[in-house]
Amino acid sequence: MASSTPYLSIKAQTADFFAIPWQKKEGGALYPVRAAATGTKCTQAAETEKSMNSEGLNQELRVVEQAVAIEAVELAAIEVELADIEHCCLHGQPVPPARAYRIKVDSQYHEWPKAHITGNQLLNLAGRDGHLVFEVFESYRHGEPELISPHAEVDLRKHGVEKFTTAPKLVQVTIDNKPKTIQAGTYTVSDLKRVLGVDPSRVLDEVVVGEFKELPDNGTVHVKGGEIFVSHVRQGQSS
Amino acid sequence: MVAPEQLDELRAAFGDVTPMVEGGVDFVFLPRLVLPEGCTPREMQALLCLGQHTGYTTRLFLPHAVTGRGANWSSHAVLGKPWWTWSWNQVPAHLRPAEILAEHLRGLR
Repeated sequence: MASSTPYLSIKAQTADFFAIPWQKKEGGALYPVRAAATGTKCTQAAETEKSMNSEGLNQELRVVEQAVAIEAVELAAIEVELADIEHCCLHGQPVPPARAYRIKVDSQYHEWPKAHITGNQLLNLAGRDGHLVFEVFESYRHGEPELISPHAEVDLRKHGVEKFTTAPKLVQVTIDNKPKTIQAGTYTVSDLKRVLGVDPSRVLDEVVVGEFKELPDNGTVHVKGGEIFVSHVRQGQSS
Repeated sequence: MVAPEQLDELRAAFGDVTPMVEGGVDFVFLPRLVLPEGCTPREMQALLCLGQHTGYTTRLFLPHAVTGRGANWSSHAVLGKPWWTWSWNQVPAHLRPAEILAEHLRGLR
C-alpha cells in the first residue's frame, strides 16, 4: 500500500472512538465532548467532574455493548422456535433455549417471548389483574406448588416446572368483632357489605388507628388484610 | 358489666380502654379517640356511657365541647370529673359498645 494513500486503521478508529469522551445530545444521540471547542471558561473542578461523568458514561456504554453482543450471540445460537415447558416436564426433558416458550396458566396456553416471566406478568396473562387480588403458583410434576411473588422472576427453563395456577389471595379481616376470611383487593362498599354478610341497610365503618371512618356505599375500600369493620344501624338522632 | 370480648373489640381499636361503673351504669374510658374529620380538636379522651343517663339511652362524654358539631352541649360531672356531651339520643344500650360509639360519632359528622 502506498504511503501517500490516506490510511485509516479500524483499530485506531476504535481506540479513538473510546478515547473521546461521549455525551448524550438532546434528542438522544451521542456526540464527542471536546472541552476546548466549547469556548467556555470552565474551572478545573468543573472540567474534572465533566471528565468523570463522561468516563462513567463510557463505562456504561461498554457494559451495554458487551451485554448486547452476548445476547446477540445467544439468540443466533437458538435453534428451537417454541419450547413447550409442560411437554418437556411430562417427558422429563430439559427445556431448551428457544425464541418463545409455551406455558400453561390455569387451563389456558400462552406463548411468552422470553425465558423469564414475573408473577405479575403471569397474573396478567391469566386475566387476574383486576380489582381483586390473586396469587400465582408454579406447579411441579413432583412436589408442592410454590408461590411466586408479584415481582419475582421465574426461569421458564427451570427443570420440573409443569404449569402455573392462580388462586384468590385470601386475607382475614374483622367484622363486628368476628374474624372473616375474604379475598384481598378493592371493593365498592356495597360489594364489601355483601362479602362480609352485612345487611345493606346498615352503616359500615372502618376503624383506623382509633378513628371510626364511615364508608359511603358509593365509595371503595382496598382490603389488604387486618382491617377492622364495625356495622351499625342508623338510630341516633338529635333530640 | 361489659363483656370481655366487647372490651377486646374496643381495645383492638383504641388501646388500653378501662371499664368503669357509677350508679349501676357501665362506662368505658377511652384514652384516645379520634373524632370525625372537621371536628376541632380531632383527638381527645372519651367516656362512653353504656346505659341510661339524664334521660338519654346512652351517651358519649368528651372533655371539651366540639366547635361547630353537635347541638345543645351540656356539662356533667361523671366519675368525679367534668365532661361535655351534646344532644344525641336513641342509641340503644343493648348494642355492642363499638356500635354505640360508632352511632354517637355519627352525630358529630
